[in-house]
Amino acid sequence: MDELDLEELKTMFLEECREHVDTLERGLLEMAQADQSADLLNEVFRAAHSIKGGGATFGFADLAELTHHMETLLDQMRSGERAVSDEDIELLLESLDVVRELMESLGNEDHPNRTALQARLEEAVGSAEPAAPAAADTAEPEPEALATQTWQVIFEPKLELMQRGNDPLLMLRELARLGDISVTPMLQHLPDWNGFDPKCCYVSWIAILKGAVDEATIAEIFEWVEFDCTVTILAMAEEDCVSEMAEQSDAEPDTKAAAETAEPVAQPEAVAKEAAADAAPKAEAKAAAAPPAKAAASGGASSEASIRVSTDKIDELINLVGELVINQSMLSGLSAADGPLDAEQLRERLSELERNTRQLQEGVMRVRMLPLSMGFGRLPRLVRDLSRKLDKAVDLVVEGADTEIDKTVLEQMMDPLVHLVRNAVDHGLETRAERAETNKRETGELRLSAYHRSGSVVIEIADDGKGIDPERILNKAIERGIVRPDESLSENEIHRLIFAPGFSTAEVVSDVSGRGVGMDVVRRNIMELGGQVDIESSFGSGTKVTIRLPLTLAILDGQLVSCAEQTFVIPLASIIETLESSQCKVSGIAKSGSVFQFRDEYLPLIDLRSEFELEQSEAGPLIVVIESHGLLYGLAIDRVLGQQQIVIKALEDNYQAVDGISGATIMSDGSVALIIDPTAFAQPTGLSSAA
Amino acid sequence: MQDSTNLADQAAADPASQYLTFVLDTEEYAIDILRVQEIKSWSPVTPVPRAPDHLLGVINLRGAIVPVIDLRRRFHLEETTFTNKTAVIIVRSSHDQAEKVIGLVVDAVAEVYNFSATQIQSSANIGSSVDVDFVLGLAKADEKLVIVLNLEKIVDTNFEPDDALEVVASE
Repeated sequence: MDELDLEELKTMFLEECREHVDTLERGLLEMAQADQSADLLNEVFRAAHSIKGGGATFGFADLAELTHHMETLLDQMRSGERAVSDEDIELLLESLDVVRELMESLGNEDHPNRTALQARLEEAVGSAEPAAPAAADTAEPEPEALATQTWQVIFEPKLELMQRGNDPLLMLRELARLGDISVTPMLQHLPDWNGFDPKCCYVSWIAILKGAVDEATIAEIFEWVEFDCTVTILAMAEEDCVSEMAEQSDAEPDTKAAAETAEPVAQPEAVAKEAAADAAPKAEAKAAAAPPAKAAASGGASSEASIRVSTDKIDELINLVGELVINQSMLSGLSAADGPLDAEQLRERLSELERNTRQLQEGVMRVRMLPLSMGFGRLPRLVRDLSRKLDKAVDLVVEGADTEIDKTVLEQMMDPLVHLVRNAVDHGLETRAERAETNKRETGELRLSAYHRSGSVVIEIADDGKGIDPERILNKAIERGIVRPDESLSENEIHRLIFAPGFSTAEVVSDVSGRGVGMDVVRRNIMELGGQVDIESSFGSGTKVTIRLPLTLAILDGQLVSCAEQTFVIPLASIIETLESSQCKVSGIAKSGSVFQFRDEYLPLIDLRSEFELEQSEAGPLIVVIESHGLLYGLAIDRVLGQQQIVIKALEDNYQAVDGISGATIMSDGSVALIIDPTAFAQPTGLSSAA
Repeated sequence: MQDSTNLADQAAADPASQYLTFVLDTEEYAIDILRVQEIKSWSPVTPVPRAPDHLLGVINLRGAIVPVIDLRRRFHLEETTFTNKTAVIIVRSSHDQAEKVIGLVVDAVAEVYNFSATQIQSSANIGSSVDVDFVLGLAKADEKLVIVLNLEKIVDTNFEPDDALEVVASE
């Protein structure tokens, strides 16, 4: 196998590994919630097992070793030898974090905590079942002497063993290390030369091994390939040196060995079936793999490149394309027919075509949509860890996790979301003692709800904590020069101050009994996604942050406007209203541009003509009032045209980004219209003061 | 246009590259034909704000937004009105490892010539009315000289040549 293939396989392995780690984490958290069903335990165990197997195959020895220890512990739980305790879960979660980091470092560096964790795991394993040394680590075999014994190992790889990156020779070599060995290859399955595929493994081996080893040690060697081969291990009496496969059933192993050997043979199939049944939910679980907690750059890049789509969605697309093809051939038939065109039929076909196209467009968009649960997946762990650290009891309630959103939006909103959740637990919710004092339920509630609302996805993060103290926020803002002391602000405006750049610094967190760190960063990130964020709070009883995100970044509802005979698109969502400039007081302020009166405030007026250096003349007679990130301003234009759903095309693809323009779109006549970026003209001068 | 049998003969005899030439003002310019995606007739563009003067705007090329450069403006030649001979040559250029598609407005498309690399004389000793930076060299085709252009520099809209290097054509 050449280097390139191996690299590709490694990437695949890492991607799968991330999935397994997520499955493990989710499973462990569920186990902590007292769900200890056999199914769940099996799922968790299998995930650990897969990581270990893959890790060893691809040379991540540290990873394999650590997961081996985790697996041993999990195996005890699975077999009922050990009750699931909180400490065990904690220990496993901790180990999982290390596994994640080992994985992301691509096996290049060991983790400082790994050996310590392994020791703790080993200790835990020992404490449950001190009389079970067989299950312990095999890297350093138990010192107690085992009697020299003769084993017959029949190793029958499946054809595809080598394609999975395994080398049978390595396993045999490993086997040879355990004692004196003689190996007989079985060549009866070799095809004739023409049918020979060099990528397949046609050979089976029978090894006779003499050594002081137990069966588990031998089985261990083949553990990583257990799905790709059949291994039969038989204990033999000294004189029983039979090497004919046919006679294997006649061999007289002791009963214990026979009972155990039956298992590895049967297991692969059973597990394979389970795995197949599992495939669907696993595909869904890909989710949190996208933004790994402490993602190394390499990890992030590979997950961005691909997307998993359920076959349902693809089948639907295939159906739609089928309809389109039929329709197209009907249209061709119509035009090829003799005589004049049947206008009625043509219209009918065309409207059908329009319907097809729209459905196809929606279908393709849906391919990019993922349920929010993919991103929400990592929050329970976050909340759990945080609440433990801070000694707070937190109930995380998640609603509407099946709400779908564009993959890119999902990925990019996760950091802000994690931040908000962290803030809510850290600063929003009180400790048990504080809650008791204020007659609140001891367990705080953090409610995460998501739903669709008029073409956007709304995510609410609500806590029933202490809320925001408006007084302290205002004082802080005045101190920092964000607000003038004589300004009078409504409570809502005060709450929004925490989003103001320059308000939040690390020191504020300890001073102000509210949220703090990086709320302006949160707001900026959400805004970059074309979303909006707002905060509501009532002092003493809780805070709610509402994030509004576009369903997709590729399509938006646009308002067409014209200025200097050129058509522009303004995102409809950002338009408050349109005014005639003759109806409102417009006054110019030297150098700093003009302002106009809107309701009872003065807003900056931006002249699109001068901004875009269009043909110079008077500013347009209409003012579109635009809101962007809580800031209002007016844009002077000539005329308002229609509204239309538009597909956003990037200018950067063939040109470069342009200030004030967020992209371009193609109009029904084939011409190009530019999309105005509403965030570009918003001047962050703080809150506009009341007139 | 050169007749096609002649062209085919030439190609068989000499494995030189093919160049598409076009006319701009009084001179004939050549670009590597492998960089040419298609040739369109002139159609109105949508101007882009804050763009350099030579960038006329963007057009819709089967769903892609493609910038269009006026080569006369790019070369600081006298502007002229667009006629039905005015053509937009759509070229592909790799810029910062990304392939970009760009339109070039020229007065008219002329011929396809074959020359090998050795036939292109470096531009250091021969002047032209175009900035030296835009020129790869001169080549002789059918008893006349054509100017072989450096496409990368031309389509890099942020690149402006040093005006001081401008020299008068020696032809």
